[in-house]
Amino acid sequence: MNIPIPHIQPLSETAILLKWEPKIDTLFHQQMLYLGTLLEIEWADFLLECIPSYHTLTLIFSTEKDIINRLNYVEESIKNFISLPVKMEEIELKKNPVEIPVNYGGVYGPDLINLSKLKQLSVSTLIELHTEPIYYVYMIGFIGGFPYLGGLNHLLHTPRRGTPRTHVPAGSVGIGGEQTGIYPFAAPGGWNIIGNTSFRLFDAEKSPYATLKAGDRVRFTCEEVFV
Amino acid sequence: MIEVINAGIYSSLQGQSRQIGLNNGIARGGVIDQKALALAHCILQSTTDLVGIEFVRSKVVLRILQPVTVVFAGGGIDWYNANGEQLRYLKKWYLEKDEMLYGRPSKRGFRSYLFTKRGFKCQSFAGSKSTDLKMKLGGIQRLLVNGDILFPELDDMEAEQTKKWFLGHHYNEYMYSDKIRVFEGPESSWLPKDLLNNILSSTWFINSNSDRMGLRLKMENDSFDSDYPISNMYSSTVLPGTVQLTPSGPIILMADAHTAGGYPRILQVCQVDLPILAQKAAGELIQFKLISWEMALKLKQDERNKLGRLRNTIQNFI
Repeated sequence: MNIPIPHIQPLSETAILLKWEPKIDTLFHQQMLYLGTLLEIEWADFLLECIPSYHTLTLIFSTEKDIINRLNYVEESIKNFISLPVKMEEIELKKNPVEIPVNYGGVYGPDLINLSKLKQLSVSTLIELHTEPIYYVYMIGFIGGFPYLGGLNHLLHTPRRGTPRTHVPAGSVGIGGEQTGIYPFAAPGGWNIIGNTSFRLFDAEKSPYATLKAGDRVRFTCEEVFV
Repeated sequence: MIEVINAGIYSSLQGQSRQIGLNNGIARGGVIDQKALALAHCILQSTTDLVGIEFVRSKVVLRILQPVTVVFAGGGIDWYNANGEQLRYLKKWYLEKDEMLYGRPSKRGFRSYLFTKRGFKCQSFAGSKSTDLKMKLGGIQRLLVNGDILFPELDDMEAEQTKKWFLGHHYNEYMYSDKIRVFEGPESSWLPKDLLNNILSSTWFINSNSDRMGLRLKMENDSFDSDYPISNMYSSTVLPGTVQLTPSGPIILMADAHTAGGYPRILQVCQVDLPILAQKAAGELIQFKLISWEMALKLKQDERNKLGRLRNTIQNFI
């Protein structure tokens, strides 16, 4: 694998953090995810979960017993796995991007017109810029099912609203800073809301509960525009 | 059956935290005071995961509609029956039909728990019956309100109490401590040394906007200077006990915290001291004490062994 040895340190009594240099890079991320999968298999007896973020993996153990010994083994394991020759074709996830249909503007996207004025771009251009890329899911976190998506066109980067809304409906598609994402649940929020989707990011009746996971790819499609 | 006549300020069904689910963005959840849960578990000799009612310091009134054995754990509320007799903590109480329970706010502690031997009938989600209030899953999927009827899972041996005993007050002594032991977090080295030392040596007050998601800290007279150059970081995993340094000061994340955050993780509260924080109200003060991760592990092991011995002692005694 073409990734360096991470910095290894405890996060809690039952969690160990593997930390790499900060970066947002899909090629690195996919190798990091692959390493996580290998560790999950190797440590299946006592590793409950391996949680990825942009450039870290958090190993959650079932108990704090023997965790000091485990800390030593973790470093050995990682060195061994990283030194394995792996072809990128084996790691790269070949799935087609998940399509997320969005109703843009109107009551679904109350900030779309403002954004158009702010960016001096037409609404249709904004929607094109939003639907053109294939986004990469770096992690699920914050709240159930929420995907951190990478790949937003820099022309659409917009600071969060000065005053967050006390209620953003579930399914809202928004832009916050350099990120775009979808609110799986109604929540207060400061993102600029440009549309809404009926795509369910979280289903308590299904397993796994979150529809998306780290490493997935996503693309937004335009259902209808309401202006 | 238990009727909720006066639900109190922020009551919900809570029990074990969720062991997995971070990959789905599911918060750990569960009772804020894990020690209260563990002690009640010992007393009740429960074999199933306990879910009970978590109250915060407020007035509460409950009516018992069907006989049930309960244990109170934690603090923050003094419990009385209709005769004005106080029902002490950490003791099994067999309650008859039509008995009333009156909860009065107490300055000793902040969160009070009512547990039954086999928990309550309610929704299970991701391995626990605890209520996730953000996602409205688990428990009864919301806070308790006046008029709710709760259904304890009943035990055949409800009336069994041949020996009268209880755990002494010293089991609740933890809530009077204000020393919170912490070890260094992943980004503690980002802080200039004197800033970290300042944080570790200062007295911190629990701010009024604290809740199940986190305790926001402030200094006396709001004098903490948060104007330091600290780089932003990409969101990473956080856990209950993680101390983040935000522009408005430190926040200690608790059970219902979001599962990822972009603020530096400067400290981690050791798990055995989280129950102390669970029993702190707004305006109360704490101080941090830096220990090693190895020490935190030892404290956890010691606590686990103590609880194991307590459980065995009780088992042999009753």
